[in-house]
Amino acid sequence: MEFIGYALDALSLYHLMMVTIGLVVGIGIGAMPGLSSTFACAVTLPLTFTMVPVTALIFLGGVYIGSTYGGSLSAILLNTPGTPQSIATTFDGFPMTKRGDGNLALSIACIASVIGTLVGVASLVAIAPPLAQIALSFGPAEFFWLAILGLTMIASLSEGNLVKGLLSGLFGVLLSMVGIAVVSADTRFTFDSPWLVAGIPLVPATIGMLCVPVVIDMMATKAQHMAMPLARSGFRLKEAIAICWRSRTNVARSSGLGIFVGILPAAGGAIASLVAYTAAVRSARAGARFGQGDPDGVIASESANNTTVGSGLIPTFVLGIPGTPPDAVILAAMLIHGLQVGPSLFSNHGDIVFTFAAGMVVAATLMLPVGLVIGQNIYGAITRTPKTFLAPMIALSTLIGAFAIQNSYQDVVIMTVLGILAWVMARMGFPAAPIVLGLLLGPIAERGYSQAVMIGEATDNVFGMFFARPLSQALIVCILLALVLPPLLKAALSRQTSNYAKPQF
Amino acid sequence: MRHTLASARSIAVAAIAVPFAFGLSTPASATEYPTGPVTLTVGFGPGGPSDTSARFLQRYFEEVTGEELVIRNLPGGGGARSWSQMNQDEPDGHHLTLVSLPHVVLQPVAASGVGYTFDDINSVLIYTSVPQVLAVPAGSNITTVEEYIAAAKEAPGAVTVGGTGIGGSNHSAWYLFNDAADITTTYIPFVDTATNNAALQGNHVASSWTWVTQFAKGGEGMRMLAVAADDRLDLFPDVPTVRELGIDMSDQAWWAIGVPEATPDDIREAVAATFLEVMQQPGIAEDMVAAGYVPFIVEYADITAVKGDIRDKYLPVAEALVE
Repeated sequence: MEFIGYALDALSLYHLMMVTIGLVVGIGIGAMPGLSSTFACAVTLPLTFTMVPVTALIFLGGVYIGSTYGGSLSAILLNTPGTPQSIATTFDGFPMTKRGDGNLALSIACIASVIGTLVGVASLVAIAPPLAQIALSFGPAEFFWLAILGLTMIASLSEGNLVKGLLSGLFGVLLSMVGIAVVSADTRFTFDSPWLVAGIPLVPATIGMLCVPVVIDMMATKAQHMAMPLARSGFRLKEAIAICWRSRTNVARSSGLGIFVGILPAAGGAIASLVAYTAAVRSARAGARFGQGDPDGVIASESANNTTVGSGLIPTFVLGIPGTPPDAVILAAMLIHGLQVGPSLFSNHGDIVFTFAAGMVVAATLMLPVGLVIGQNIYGAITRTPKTFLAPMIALSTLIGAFAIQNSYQDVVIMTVLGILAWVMARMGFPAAPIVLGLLLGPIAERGYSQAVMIGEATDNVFGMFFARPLSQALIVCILLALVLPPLLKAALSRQTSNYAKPQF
Repeated sequence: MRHTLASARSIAVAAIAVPFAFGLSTPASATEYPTGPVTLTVGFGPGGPSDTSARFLQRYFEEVTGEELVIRNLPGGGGARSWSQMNQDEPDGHHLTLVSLPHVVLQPVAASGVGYTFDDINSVLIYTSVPQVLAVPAGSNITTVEEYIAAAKEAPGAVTVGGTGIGGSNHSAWYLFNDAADITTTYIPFVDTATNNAALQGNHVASSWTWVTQFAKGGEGMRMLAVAADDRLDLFPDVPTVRELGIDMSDQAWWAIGVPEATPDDIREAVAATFLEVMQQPGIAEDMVAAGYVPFIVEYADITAVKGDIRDKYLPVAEALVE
């Protein structure tokens, strides 16, 4: 009965209006290549100062959900991820657009995002405290193994040119070492430049390496950017729903992985969607065409990244530890509004938690029409825009984005240089995505390893730190499976999967 | 309807407060300030204790001046990115940088090549402080500082202590405490306050140096053994200070408003006067205390002397940390 009251509060006209504004602003910022969800939340935070706490949270939640979905728009239509969370969406989203199924891909992405958001919010309301405890059982050694498990994604996604894929990944790890090391305070690879003291900034680097090559290719090749949608225009909603229903196992698996990755501090939507995408590829049925426009790729990535919106709030609410980077902004908002986090938040401020959760359900529901309409309008606009306008527009958007996040001219330079480098490397057969993966996971692996060794030496048990803890052992088994299974499966299915394609990873 | 009324009321309060505040600030300085939005660069990500203290300023700055205070997060290198660049900003009082003390004393000595020295940093007003606390996991069998010291003496180096980064404030608190209590422990650096706390809550380290703000937020799964403040805190009256337990140390962080080196004196004074007024707004002190901050203001006239004292206390610590 009580929940109905909270739901009614969330459904008040004022809240509906704030959620809609938050969603639209979020989708807009998220769709701009270069602007992340963290930026979207931070830039709108001052707007919430005059609101009551629950409204502030609902508004920020709307911005967060919207920006996470918004990133998929440019990922699908332009091959440039709008936010790092939608990197994996480009792998199959853009090939769908290229063959004229862009509208279908957008509708699928929207449905998957809505389902992911709902699953995440459900996990927040239903099982937050036990899930937060799982997050805490991850210590330095577990984070090390987890990062290594993440790095095995390179191996199973870039068969064919495995060596080049691995070299790209190692190059990313090398890039991640630039700057002052957290654990040792050594300054590495800065060449005495103050620009590099802080290391390679993650978002400009990611956007640069994944967007700039797209722009250069657009200018360098004569081919049409995408096929014209002829017969099948419109939302193609029925078709999209049918595909999502057919892939319900994929949706469930990807959202589950989204919950898991979301509750881990220092991970977030980008890693969640890459993990879910890899899992989808690994458990693909015969005849799947990942990398060539398989809708399952879009479903995996988009349901996983939107799930982290809700699940990332679990450690944020229960432990005061942000599960994803934008959650840090939400935590700051709660503190400024005088809300204490902790399990007591659920008992003392149950009204706020549950009204917020109801608000997120409302936001997810609203995102279906809002996201579909915005997405199809942008789709229409992009199909009508010639490449000669599109390329400079994307270039400008990435430049503005890289600058706006921190008002930093250096970020723009770093983005451009790395972007051109990634294009050159791609020409030589070194894919860009493993570089990003190395950049994301390298620091987690390095810190986890150093901290685990330091703790192990203090307690005289270095070996036990890495190999004797049950969670570490489980992760090691996963790593071995990830390395051994794909070649075995490949051998077993080699005939049926002759048309199995590698993603453009 | 409730919400609409609430926001209408706060807008009305702002409308009344603005002319009133202007009336107050005019005699403080002849310089007209601010004449547009003011950017405050924070060298840490959103949500940590540094950023949150700046967000409190942001909330009241507009009420006082009618201009916006824009927070620009420029994380990286444990704050070094923001401090190595702050002197290249325009010295017009509208481009400010948050300065963490004693962080800017410790870091240039403890970490090599950070791109700035303590003498490069100019600040005009210290606006708040946060004491550090020694904490253990909630389930730890160590319940007092005495037991903690006994455990460390029994097996020197075996007690692990989490903190944020190398050459940061937590690192200095670890050193000062160990020095005063004559114990040896192993310091484990984490990337930020959130992951430091998570390691403690998950029992991955035996203890941590962290901030009172983390307990004002909730502090689930962690327990304070003692606070390194000069007096017990109103917020946690049951937590003893380190000093009253016979260990002669206290350690806290101070946050200051920093300006580029080339900023003229009259602009420095105007910036200091404006932020002092922000800190004097009704409500801000109470809000910050509830969030774990301890009111501590050093005005423009005294800032050079106080900064000198802080440098004299922490320079030997920094040199000891390098070894």
